[in-house]
Amino acid sequence: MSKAAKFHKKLMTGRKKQGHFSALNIALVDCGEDWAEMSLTPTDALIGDPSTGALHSGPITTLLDSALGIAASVALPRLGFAPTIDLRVDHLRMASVDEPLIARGEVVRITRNVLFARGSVRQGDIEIAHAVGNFVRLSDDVLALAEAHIKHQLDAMENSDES
Amino acid sequence: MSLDHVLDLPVKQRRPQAILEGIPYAVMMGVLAEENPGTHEPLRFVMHASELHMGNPTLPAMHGGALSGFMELACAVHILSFMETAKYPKLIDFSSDYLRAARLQTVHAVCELMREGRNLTAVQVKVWQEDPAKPVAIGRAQFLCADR
Repeated sequence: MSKAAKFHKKLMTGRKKQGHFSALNIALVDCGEDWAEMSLTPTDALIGDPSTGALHSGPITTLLDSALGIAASVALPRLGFAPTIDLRVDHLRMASVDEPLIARGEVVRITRNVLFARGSVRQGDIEIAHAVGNFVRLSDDVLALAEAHIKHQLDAMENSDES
Repeated sequence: MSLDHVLDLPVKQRRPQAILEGIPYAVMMGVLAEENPGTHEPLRFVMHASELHMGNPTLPAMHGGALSGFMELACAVHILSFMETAKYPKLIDFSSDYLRAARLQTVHAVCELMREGRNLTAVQVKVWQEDPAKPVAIGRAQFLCADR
């Protein structure tokens, strides 16, 4: 596993979950050189249409944005993050709130300025949605700052673990 | 009032805020309708930012997915507020363009119906924080409203 993948795993799993990931029960399953898998465990609070009990599209978009975004982040040559430029999601089927969703995102190509990614979401064996998304490859000096910031956060986490 | 009850009403009697209150995901996200009765102001949606919308914990910014979820809700409720359809519209696809960094602050949305077909309905949405002339994101949706 690449160093970046290790850092991202640590960041996502090594702290109490907060923010939008915790609101939607999103967790990192695993990530590698240029890919990431994430899960979303739905609750009734994420229903879009109470007459059918279907999960709203918003959490599915969020899960895909996260999986593609982390795939883009781990594919960078150094530790950092990659802001989303755009994302297009096709909703192939309705999802229920009875079973977790698993999304996989992968980077298709990296250029000097852009990371091209794609991915899909399944619930059990059924494909629910697929997506294409493009991400900003920040300049090396911005990424160096991001790397320093993330390392600082990881150090802070480790210190608070010890106390 | 449940969503079914609100959607049983003729479209002119539906209050956008009442529609939102019938959608569990909209309640969880804290999406509200800004109603301006008697004015020609377009229907606007607002979401007050809180920790639950935060993305990457190393940066105090709004998660792009929270912004997209807000846009998807705004588009669907806009349809239900202006079109005589009695079912929650089915989203076929959604495209989000993220134009500027969204801080963890109040976001506003306004939608425009681009096509009202017998089956397909196309909606555009624009989202901004402080200045409507500087949108943080725009979105495009295709919905199936098959009960019309």
